[in-house]
Amino acid sequence: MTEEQRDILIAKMLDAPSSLSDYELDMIEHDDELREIHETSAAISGACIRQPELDMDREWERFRPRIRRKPSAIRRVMRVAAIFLGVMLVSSLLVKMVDHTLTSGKPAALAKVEHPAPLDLPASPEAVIPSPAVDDHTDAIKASAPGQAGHAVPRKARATLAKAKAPATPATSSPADLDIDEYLRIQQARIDNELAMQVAETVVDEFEAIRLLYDTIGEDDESMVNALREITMQ
Amino acid sequence: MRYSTTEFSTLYSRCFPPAMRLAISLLHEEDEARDVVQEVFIRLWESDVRIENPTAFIIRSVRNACLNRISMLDTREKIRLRLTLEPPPDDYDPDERGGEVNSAIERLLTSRERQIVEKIYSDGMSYKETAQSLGVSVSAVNKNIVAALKKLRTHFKSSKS
Repeated sequence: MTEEQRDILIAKMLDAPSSLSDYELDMIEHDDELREIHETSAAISGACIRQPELDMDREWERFRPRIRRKPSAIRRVMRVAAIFLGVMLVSSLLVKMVDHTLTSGKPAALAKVEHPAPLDLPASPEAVIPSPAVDDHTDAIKASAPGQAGHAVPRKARATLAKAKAPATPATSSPADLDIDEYLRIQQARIDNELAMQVAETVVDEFEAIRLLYDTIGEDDESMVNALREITMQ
Repeated sequence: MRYSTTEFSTLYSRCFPPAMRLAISLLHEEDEARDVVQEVFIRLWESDVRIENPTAFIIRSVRNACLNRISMLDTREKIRLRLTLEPPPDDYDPDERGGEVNSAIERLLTSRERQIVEKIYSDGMSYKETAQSLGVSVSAVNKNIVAALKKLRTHFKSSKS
């Protein structure tokens, strides 16, 4: 590199450093004279730069907001404990919410079951299960034909009564366990059972009436028997 | 034992000016220098310990912080900002160094060279602005500044050895 080229590079380095190519930068870095001239330039720059006049009150006011006392160890522990408790509280609330969401499908009715007044829910499971009513009807049938009910009631009527006697409702544990569907099913079963009992009672009454008629008029009078059969069939 | 705010305010008032002078002489930018110095004071405040010689600690910390900032710049940026490519000696004192440089400028340079150095380095003028303000050509400015730098470089090199 000639002295003239070197001077041009120095001028470029001082006046237009942005226009230096990578090659020229590399040359400045690795050429002793050029590097020393740059260091001299940096030293002059540092020495000649105008130092600002400092207003210390103003400097302190500018700096003051940047400093903040770090919390003590106890405060840090308390902060960690507070964060921990906060996390515990939030997680427990979340668990509660999730639990409520998952079980809210059925329990909307369950809540009503727990307050039976609006739905007229029976207070005890015994009131819901209609089996005692069946027993009452059976007793009534027996009472209506004392001494004859055991053999006088035909097989068909017995079967109907036996069916009616069979538990029409599933056993329930407690009213609190019932939901609205189950409650309605029990009510429907009770109504069905009562209807079946009334039909059975009617059949038995009719049978008793026919039997009395047979006893009175005898089996010889065919016309009477046929008329009765027609009425019975209707 | 930590500083009270009043004590720290006193320390800040005492140590900030020399720390700022050092940072400006190394970084050549006032805002950048102020930021570095404030960072050092913040670290001292947060350390919660009392330093035996806080002024020396702060000056050493500011010097290291400035050199760290310079080392993060690439060569082009260092040349653009006229920052040193080599780290200064550990005992670098900006006031002392400034005195040496100004003394050499006074003794070794011609009056024209001194004028041009002042325009370029103190006033931050370009070659063109310097040429216009002094009523000379840009090439004359270039010739004078290169001559001045070479004289000073030779002087500092010989005084160092």
